[in-house]
Parts: sequence; C-alpha cells; structure tokens
Amino acid sequence: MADNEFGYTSWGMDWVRLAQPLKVSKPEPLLPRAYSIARNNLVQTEIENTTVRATIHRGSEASVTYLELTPLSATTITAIAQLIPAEALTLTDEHRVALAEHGISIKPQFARTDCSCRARTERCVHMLATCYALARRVDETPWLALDLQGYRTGGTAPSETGEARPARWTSIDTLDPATYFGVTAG
Amino acid sequence: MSTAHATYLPDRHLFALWTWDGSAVGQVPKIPGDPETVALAVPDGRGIAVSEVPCVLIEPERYLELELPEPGASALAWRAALEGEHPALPPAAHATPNAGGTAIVAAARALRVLQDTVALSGELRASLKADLRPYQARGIAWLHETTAAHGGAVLADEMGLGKTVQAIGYLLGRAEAGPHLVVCPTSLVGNWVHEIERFGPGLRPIGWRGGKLPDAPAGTVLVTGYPTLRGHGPALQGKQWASIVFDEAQVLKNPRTQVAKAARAIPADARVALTGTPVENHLEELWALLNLVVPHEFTHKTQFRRRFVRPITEGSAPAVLRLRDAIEPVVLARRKSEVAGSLPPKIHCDLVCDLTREQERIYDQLLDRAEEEGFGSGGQRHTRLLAVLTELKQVCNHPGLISGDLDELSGRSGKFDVCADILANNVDADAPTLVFTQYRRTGELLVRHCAEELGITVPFFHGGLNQAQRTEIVTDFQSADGPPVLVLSLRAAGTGLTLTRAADVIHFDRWWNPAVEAQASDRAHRIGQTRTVTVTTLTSGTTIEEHIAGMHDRKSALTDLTDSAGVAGLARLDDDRLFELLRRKRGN
Ligand SMILES: [Zn+2]
Repeated sequence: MADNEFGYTSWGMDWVRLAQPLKVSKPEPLLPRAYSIARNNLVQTEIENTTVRATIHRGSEASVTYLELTPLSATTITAIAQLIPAEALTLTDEHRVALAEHGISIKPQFARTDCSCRARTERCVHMLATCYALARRVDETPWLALDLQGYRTGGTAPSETGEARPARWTSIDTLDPATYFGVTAG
Repeated sequence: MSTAHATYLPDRHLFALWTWDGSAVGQVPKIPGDPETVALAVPDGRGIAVSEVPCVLIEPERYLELELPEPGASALAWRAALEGEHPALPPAAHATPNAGGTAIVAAARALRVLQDTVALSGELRASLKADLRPYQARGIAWLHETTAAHGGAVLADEMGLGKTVQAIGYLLGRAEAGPHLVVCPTSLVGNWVHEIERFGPGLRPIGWRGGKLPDAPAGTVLVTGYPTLRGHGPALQGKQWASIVFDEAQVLKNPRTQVAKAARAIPADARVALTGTPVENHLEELWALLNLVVPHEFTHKTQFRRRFVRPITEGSAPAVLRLRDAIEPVVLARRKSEVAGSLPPKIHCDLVCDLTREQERIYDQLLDRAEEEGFGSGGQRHTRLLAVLTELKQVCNHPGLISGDLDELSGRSGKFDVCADILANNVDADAPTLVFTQYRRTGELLVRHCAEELGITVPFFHGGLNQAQRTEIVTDFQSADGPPVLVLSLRAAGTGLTLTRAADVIHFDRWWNPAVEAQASDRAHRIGQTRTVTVTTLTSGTTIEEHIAGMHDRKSALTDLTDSAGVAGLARLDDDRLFELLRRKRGN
C-alpha cells in the first residue's frame, strides 16, 4: 500500500504509521478493509480540539469511533513556535524535518480510543480506517496535525515566544445572534 | 425600530450601509451613495447565515461627514475607528464572509485593514500622482502587509483595474529600502518607465535591455523585459533587490523554462506577481506563480497536485473551498463586477508599446527616403505626406505590412504582441472583445493570428461587405455563443452598430480625432450594456502615433473623419519642423 493516496506529506504519514507501524510483530489482516473504507470516503470525521468522532456507515451497520489525542506539553509548544513562524500558511515537510532535527517529537499519541463496535481489540477496522481518513485530512491541511495535539487549540498558546498567529477569520458557528449587533441586540 | 449598520468590506475598502428592522434586513438607508446588493453574514432567525443584503456603499473618506439616521453600534464603532480609536467591533461591523460562507473577517483584522489603508492613502496623497480608487488603496496596503508577512504576493485583479498603479504605489512606499526590479513583456518596458515617471516622480525608473547593469541606488526601478531576464539573468542575480515585480507573470507559467528559472534565482526581499488571468482556472499556472513569489509556502508541486488539482479536477467542491482558503492570504483577485460601484461606466487603459528593432529600422528607412525625396509643396505636399504617414503607421502596426515578409507574425511588432497577449487573456477569461483598426490589412493579420495562435475564427467587419454580411456579423456577435473576438474597420463600424456583448474594446491604431475613437468604443458602451467597458488604446512609443495620441490630450477640435484634417495640420509645417515630428524620439 505504498502509494500517494494517504500520507503524501510527512505529517499525514504520521497518521498512516498509526495504522500500519513500520515494526509489526504479526500481519494486520484488517488493514486492506480499513484502507478501502477510507479511500471510498466512508469515514465522516468531526474534530473538536484534540478529540475526533468518526462515523462509519457500511451497509446496515454503523459505528462511532472516538479518538482523543494527548496534548503537546507547554514546553514542546514553545519549542515548536521557535521553529515554525506563526504566519506560515502551510506546514511543509521541511518544517517537519526541522522539528525532528531539534529532537521534537510530534507523532500523535492516543490518550483514549473507543469504538461502538463489538470487536474485542482496540485496533478494530474502524479505528484503522479513521487513522487513514485523518491522514488524508492532515495531508490536505497539515496544520491540523499540530492542532489535533492542542497546538493552537488547547489553551496553551505559544505566548512566550512572540505573537500568537493573528486570526484572519472568525467562524460563523462561534457567533451568537444575540450579540450580533452589539452588546444588546437591536 | 429600524437601525442602520455599517459593515466594512476589506477587499474593496468600502463600508456597506444597511438597515435592520428588528427582525429582518430592511430597506437601504436614505443617504446618497451607490446602492448594491452585497453578501453579508446576518441573523436569519435560527442563527447567522450569508445572505444578499441591499446596501449603500460609502468610501471611508466620506463616512465621517455622513449623517446616518439611527446608527447602530456597528456604525458608531466605525466612526470611532476612523477617529483613531480602537473600538470593540460587534459582528455586524465585520460580517464580510469568506468564499465558503463559513466565517467572517476577524474583528481585529477588519480594524487593522481599515486603519492601515486610510493611513496609507494619506501618505500616498503627496507622493503618488494618481487618484486612487478605494480598492486600489487597499491593494497597495495589501501588498505591503502580505509581502511583510510572507515575502511575496500575487495581485490578480482583472485587467483594467489598475494593477500597474497599485504596484507603483507599493514601490513608492519602499523606495528607500533599496533598488527595485520590474520585469514585464518586452514591448511594455517603455510603458512602465513612462507610468512610473508619471505616477511616482519620487522613483527613478531606468529601462534596461542588457549590457552593463546601471548603478541602482535606493529608489531606482530597473525595468526590463522577459527576454532580457532570460539572457542576462546572472547580472540581475548578482544584486539584492528590495522588491521585484513580475508583470503579466503568467508568462512564467512553465517553471522549467530558462526565463522562469532565471526569475526564481533573483534575490529579492519582496516578490510580487501581477496577472490578469483568472488564476483559479489554471491550477498548474497558479502553482507556478505561488512557487515564484512564496516558494517556502508552495514548495512541492506534487503535494499541490495531490491536495488541490486532482480533487478539483474530479469535481470536489470542498477542495475548491480548501484551495481558496489556502491561497486567500497571498492572492488578491478582484473582478470588475465586484468593484463596479467604484468604477465609471468606461475605463481607459492607454498602453505605450515599444517598437521592435525591425520596426525601428524600417521606420527610420522610410523617413530617410522621404527626406531625400522631399515632400514638395502645394497639393503634392499633402499627397506625399499622407503616403508617408500611412506607411509609418503601417510599420507601427506590423513591419511585414511594408517589407512584405508576413510568414511569422509574432515578436516583430510591439503593438501586435501586446494585442495578442490581451486577446489570448480575454478569450481565456471569456470576455468578448472588439478590436478596431483603420487598416484592412492589419485587420486581416489580426484575424489570421487569432486563427493560427488561438484557434478561433474571428469575423472582420469592414467596408467591403454588403449589408446582409454586415447584419449577419453583428447578429452572430451579439448571440450568446458568438465569436470571442470581432475585428472592425474604424471607418465602416464607427457608428450605428450595437455590440454590447463585448465589454472590452481595443483600438489597435490611433486616430487624429478622439471623438471617432469614442464613437467606436460606444459600440460596446451603449444602452443595454450593464458592465464596465474597458477601452484599451495601443500607441507605438517614440513615433508619429505618439504625436497623434498627444493631440487627443489637447482635445483637438477636429471633426473630420478622414486623415486629411490631421495631415493638413502637418503639411503647413516647414520640412525641418515636420521631420522633427516624424522622427523617432530617442526614448528608453
Ligand atoms: Zn470498531
């Protein structure tokens, strides 16, 4: 499965590696199915800060998978902010290399995983498919790799090292119609 | 009760004023200004959603003197902002949505953009000799802001919106930062020098066509053509430039060409690409431009393809929105229809095109011969002068019209090449275009070029057609699937016709009497035309055509529709004075 479907950026590849680690003790029979589910866009992901909720419909079956990632430490966030300019539009493979050269590990770590299916293993086909689906989303928008680990979303903004990235846009979802016109509606 | 609200539109640097009647958008406020429907994020009963809101548009400069009835918090906050304060802005004040309709401009950014643009307009009032339209002031501020944050920027405003004046305004603000470089199509080097002299007298433009690189202290703008960049790249690469501007940057769309490699290798603190092509229609070209001006952000073509090009080609709508989000911080592309409220119904774009070496040689030879033979006197003087003028004007159009060598058309006439670029661009942008010329054979060359290079069949409306043929051409052109270009003889088509499917008009050669050109332009700009008409004139620099164009500026009162009145004026001059007029002025 070495192709450029998933993991065509080094940031996305971190997520592919969660599904298919380099060192495996035994072959993972579920991988081809998980891969195919993700490739056919059957995974719906909703992301909120460091948690991911993935819904997979296959035929009459539906499953919901939760992933929660371990947030980066404040020290790591500060160290990253020194290497990646806040105004960088896209995280590039070069940024990833720079972090590695400074010994900063940003491989995603699970704090918790859970799936509604009946499989006895944590690494069920849904969890594996979710990893592929997230690899795709991270490939598309690499900042997501860090944001999923609380880089700009976890409340530990890199304030010591200069300005936080100034927001260009405000999501409409965060606006309250009651205060749209000012403190009091009118 | 109805309250009035003000939403700032950053890309246009205008306020949209609208009212809210307590539960829905109300009628436009009763104030003077341009009414327009604008997409804004407003409450819709359940939440907030993007909707088309009837507004009156007001320039920030006029906002403080405005007496707005029942101003709401947003209107008051912008008043405070213009008075130099830093008010808290309610969402209504910055409710301009993004492309996907999922977000509005952040409050802090809206405030900063307004105050920066107002400040910049004030600074430029003394140094830039041009009346900036609000969106142009914003474009200049945007160039400063974007190159400061990312090192480069793509200004992709539609043709006619004044990218050149925005680039000059930008360079003026950085004059002291060091020497600057402008690279443009080779026929437009003189035009750039001329425009910089005209708009930015604080800058020192130098046209450069190779040879020893001139001294370039801070404030110098070296202007050069793409062929010179290709041939003399190393000389330009040996210097650190404060800014480099690539005009018509779509020329560099193929990153593997020599010229694109030379362009990327020039070290500059700020890199700006100007293009009038619709960038989102050509994703590979877009990548090449982004890689040229912000290479650290758009490094890997394969990733760009995988991330955007492939899904967009496969029809993915989310990928289109992702692309817009990804490029929005470094690409500013405004269309005429979006800023129409700030535009007059007709905009003029006068391009002075350089002669090629071949044109210069033949032009000079014709005059040498005329000088030997003399013009004579009396009626003979008039006839001979008319013949020479006609030949000179033909050289300006295309040297092959005199030499007879018409095998290869490109690269031989400055005007022809510039016109060819504009037509290629307009065909691509789906902007039907009228081209007027006085000469039948010039018209035929244009038709031939369109067939050979653009693969399109272009009709030619000229005096040799009968009435039925004329009617057919007009009807065809006006139909929805009519031809993208129509060539017309100025004399045959100057009056009467309605050709409003075109909003772009090119005058390939110049006429003594501006009223004749204006009448021809009005084939497009007349009742039924709902868009802004762009009128482009092409003039060969340093030649008799400049003299003719100069008579326009003096509002010559000629009413004659033939060459004779203009020729009569010249025939009255003595030979010395006459040849002084006809000889090429040594310019850049
Ligand atoms: Zn499962």
